[in-house]
Amino acid sequence: MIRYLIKNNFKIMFRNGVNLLIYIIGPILISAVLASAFSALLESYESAGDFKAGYSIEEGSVLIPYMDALKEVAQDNGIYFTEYETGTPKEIIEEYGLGGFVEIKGDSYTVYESADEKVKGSTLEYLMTAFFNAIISGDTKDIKLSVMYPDHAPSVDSTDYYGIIYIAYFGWLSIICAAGLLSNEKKNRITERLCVSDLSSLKTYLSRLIPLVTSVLISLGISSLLNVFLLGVHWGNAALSALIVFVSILAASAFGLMLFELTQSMVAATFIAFAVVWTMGFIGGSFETYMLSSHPEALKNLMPIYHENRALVELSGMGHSDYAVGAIVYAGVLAVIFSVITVGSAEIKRRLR
Amino acid sequence: MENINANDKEIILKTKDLTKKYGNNVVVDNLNIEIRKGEVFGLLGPNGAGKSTTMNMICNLIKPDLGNVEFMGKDFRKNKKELSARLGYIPQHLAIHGNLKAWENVELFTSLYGIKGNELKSRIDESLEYVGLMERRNDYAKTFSGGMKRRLNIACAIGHHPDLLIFDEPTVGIDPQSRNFILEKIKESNKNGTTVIYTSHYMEEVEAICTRIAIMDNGKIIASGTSEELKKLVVEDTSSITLEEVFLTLTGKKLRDL
Repeated sequence: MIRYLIKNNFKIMFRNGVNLLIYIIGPILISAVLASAFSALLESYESAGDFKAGYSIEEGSVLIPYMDALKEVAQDNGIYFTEYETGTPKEIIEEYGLGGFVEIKGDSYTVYESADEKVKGSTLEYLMTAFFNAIISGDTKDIKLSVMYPDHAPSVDSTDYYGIIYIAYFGWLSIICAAGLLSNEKKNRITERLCVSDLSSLKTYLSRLIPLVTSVLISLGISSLLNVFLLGVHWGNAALSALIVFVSILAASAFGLMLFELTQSMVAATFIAFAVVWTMGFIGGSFETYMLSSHPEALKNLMPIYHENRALVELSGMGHSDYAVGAIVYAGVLAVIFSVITVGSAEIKRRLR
Repeated sequence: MENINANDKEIILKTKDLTKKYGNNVVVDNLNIEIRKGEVFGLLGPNGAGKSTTMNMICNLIKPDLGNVEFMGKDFRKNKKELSARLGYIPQHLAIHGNLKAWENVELFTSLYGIKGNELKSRIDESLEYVGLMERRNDYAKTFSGGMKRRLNIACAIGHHPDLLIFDEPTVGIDPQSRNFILEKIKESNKNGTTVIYTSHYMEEVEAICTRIAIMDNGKIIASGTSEELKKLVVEDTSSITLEEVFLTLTGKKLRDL
C-alpha cells in the first residue's frame, strides 16, 4: 500500500523544521532584501492616468469614418482626444500640455510622445495599435480595450519581481526538502527493507516524488501568501500562476530525485542541483531582470526557469502571458523525462543487483 | 562442499550451490544449506566469512553469481512477488525513521506487504505490544534508547506475520536486559511456529537460542550441528569447552579485518 508510504514520507519531510524555515521564510527574506536593494534597477510601474491627447487627420484619409469610434474608445479608457488643424505635433504637445499626439495621413498614423510623459506616450501607442488591429479585423463596433498598458513596458516593481522569482527559484531547489528522508534511507539502509518487501522501482519513486512535491508546494504556498500580505506582492492571475509553479516544482523534484538516483549521494545531488539551477537562472534571467538580460534569446529559451519566471512576472504585470502555456508544457515534459530516467535507472540496478 | 541437512521436517529454505564473487575474491563458495520449518538456525563466522553476503542473497538484496535460493519450495528470485511477504528481515543497522513515531514506523513497513485499514491498525498494536513498546507508541523513534530502537527495528519486520524471520546481529550495542528481552522474544516466535535464521558474534546467544548452528569461514560452511555436536568436533568432554572456544579452534585466532 503505497499510500501509507507516501503519507509517512510526507510526515518526515514536513516535520523537518529546517526545511520549513528554508522554504517558508527563505523566499520572503531574500526577496525583501533584493527588492529593497535593487528597486532602482527595475522600472517601477506608473499608471498613465487620465490625460489629454491631440490628433490631426489628413483630408480624404480612409480613417475618417473611424474617428468617432476611436475617440469614444479612448475616452472610455481615460484618453481625451482633441483635433488640432494647425501646428507641428511638437508645438501642439508643448503648447497644450498633451500626453501625446497622433498624426493621421492616408491609411497610416504616427504617434508623437512627450519627452516628459513616456508612459502616456506608450499608452497612446498601445491604444492606436489595438484600434488599428480592430479595424483590420473589422470589429470596430464593440471595441473593448481592457488592458491599457503596452506589452513591452515593464509593469512590475522590484517587490513583485523578486517576490515571484524567488518562489520559482526555491521551487527548483526542491530536492533540499527530501534531503532528510533520502539521507536517512541511505544511512540506515532503509532501502534494503523496501527491497526485501519487493516494492517496485516505480512505487519507490512515487513514494518520494508525491510527498516531495506536496511538501514543497505547501511550504512555498505559505511563503507566497506571506509575501502577498507582508510585502504586497501581486501575482496577477493567481490560479494560472499556481499551476505554473506546481508543474515547475514537479519537474524540479523529478530532476532532484534523478540526480540522487544517478549519484546515490545527497551532497552530490544537492550540489549539482544548485549549480544547474544557478546556471539556468543566470542565463534565463533569474538573477537580473529578464527585460535587461543580454543573453541570446535561443539560449534563454532552453532554460525552463526562464519560461516560468517570464510567465509569472508577465501574469503579475499584465494579467496574461504568452509564455504561460510554454512554461507548463516544458516543465511537464521535463518531469516525464526525468521520471523515466530515474525509474529506468533504478529498475536496471534492481535487476543487476 | 558440505550439505547441512536437518532431519525430516519440511524444508522452508534451501540454498543450492550459492556462489558470489567480487573480482577474484570468492566471498560465498558453493554454499548449500537447508533450513527446516520450526528451526532456529544460527550462522556464525568471523568478519569477512561471507555471512552478510549469504544473508543478502537469501533476502534477494544481492544477485548470486551462481546457484539459487529456494524458499517455500520455489525459486525465490523468480517468485519474489509471491514470496517476499513470507519473509521478515531484521537488519543489523537500525532501519527506522527517527522523525516518525513508533507506530508510524511500524505502519510504514507493515503496509509494504499490502496490509491496510483496521487490519493494519491491529497489526501495529500487536507488533508494538510484542516488543514492549506499546506505551511509547506515540513517541518519536529518535527519542528512544538503543535497546528500544532495536526492539522497534524488530517490530517493523514482524507485522506482516512472516514464516521466516532473519535476524542479522540484532543485539549489537544494547544492554543485557534488552538483549535478554529480544532473545526471549525470538524463542517465543519460534514456539509459535516461526522459523528463524540468526547471525551474531555473541556465542552465548547463539548457544542459548539456536537449535542448529553452522560455522562459516572463507565462504564455506566448515562445521554444523547442534551446540553439543560442534563441541564434540573439538573435544570429547563437552562440559569443559565453550562454543567460543570451538569457534576459535575451527576458524583460528588470527585477526580477519586487518
